[in-house]
Amino acid sequence: MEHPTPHTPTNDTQDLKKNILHRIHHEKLIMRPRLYFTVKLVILAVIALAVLLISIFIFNFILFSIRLNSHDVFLGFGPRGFLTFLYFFPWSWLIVDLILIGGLEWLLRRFRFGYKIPILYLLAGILFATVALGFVFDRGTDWNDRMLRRAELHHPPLPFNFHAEEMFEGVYRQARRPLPPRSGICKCIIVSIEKNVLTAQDTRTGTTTVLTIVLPLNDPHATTTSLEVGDIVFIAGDRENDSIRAFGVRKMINPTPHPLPSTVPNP
Amino acid sequence: MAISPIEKSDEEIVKLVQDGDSEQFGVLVERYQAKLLRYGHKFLRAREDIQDIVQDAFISAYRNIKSFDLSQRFSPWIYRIAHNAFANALRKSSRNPLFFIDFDTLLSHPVYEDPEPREKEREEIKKYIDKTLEGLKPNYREVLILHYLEELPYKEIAEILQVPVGTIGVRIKRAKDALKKAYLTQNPSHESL
Repeated sequence: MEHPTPHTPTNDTQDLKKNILHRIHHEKLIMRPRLYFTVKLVILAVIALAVLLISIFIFNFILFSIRLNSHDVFLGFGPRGFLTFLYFFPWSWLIVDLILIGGLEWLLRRFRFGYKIPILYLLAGILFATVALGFVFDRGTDWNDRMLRRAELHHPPLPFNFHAEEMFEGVYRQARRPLPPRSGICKCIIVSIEKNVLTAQDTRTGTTTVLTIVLPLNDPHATTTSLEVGDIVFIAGDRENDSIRAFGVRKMINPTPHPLPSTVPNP
Repeated sequence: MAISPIEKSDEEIVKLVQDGDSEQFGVLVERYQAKLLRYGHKFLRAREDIQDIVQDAFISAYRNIKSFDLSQRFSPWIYRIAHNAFANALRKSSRNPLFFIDFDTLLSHPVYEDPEPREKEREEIKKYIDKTLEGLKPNYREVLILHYLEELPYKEIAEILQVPVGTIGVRIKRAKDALKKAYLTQNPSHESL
């Protein structure tokens, strides 16, 4: 096992041992106590857990924002719908979350189990866990809906008090992603149906804007089949004055969880 | 009859040091100084401060010895500290960053470690390492030194470098290929490695 060490004569190595013991005794070097390492480990674990929880919350918020604005409906509108979905996706939140996940990966690699797993597998595991838990949190609890209501109606503060309520309110005020004015996307109530032309009333602003929706013929993404007067529909298309040439229409079975209260001005 | 320090395992001596017998740390220094100096000389090549770096690594080990988990092996732990010290020294003196995205750590790789590498192959590689090591990238250099010169198994090298075991296997293979290429560039008349 031992190899000759041409670069390290015996005197040098004897000196090394002497020097080290001399420094230990004369410089009064002390061993760091176990508590130091325990505290360090606990702090690292707490930071990792906090980053994980924030990542889960952000994914939950992204999913909630998509659900709230019915942007998931775009995915059923073919290639144009997919591009529109990408356009309206809350990218800034996703970027923040990915940065946090990168940080979490770095933190977990400080632990023994962390560096034994290949980087991409660990990253995939963290991503899967945060997206899945974010989804469960969004769909399994009414936290988002309650926080949205609180943010929009300026409810009394939360039971805990470290300005968290202001922070959460600020976040939830960004949940609604208003469409550009006079865009070709709307959530409307059907007033009348005439072959491939719908007359619909925009429900978003509370005003009585009546739009004429022209659907393409023989397009499975935009058909009047199964639509009835009084249905709430989500429409995507190109707007010209008060007319929309639609590339996608979807009947809303479960409309927006919490329509914007009439007392709150539309952002 | 008390067991002399020579008969004690590294971990038993660490336990004594952790319990306050700092003089026993000298036994650990004796056991590892030659190995770490040799590793430093091979890894950092022509540097005059290797002894200082190894000395600082031992001091760091002493200060942090209470973080050592007695259920683990001491050897990878002390090599890890020395490796970090060498890597820091290299980073300070090099214009090229030592740390970059290491694609070998991204995915898992199947591990095959020959339990008894052929002695002839080992001797040949040792010889070529001596002649050609300087031209290799640090991450190839370190695995060749640790595996072929220090004769450490993949698992311990993985613990020292804190990468998955599969990464060590693939890195050693790439390091051998790079060594061969570098050697043939330097010695075009030799065709086999």
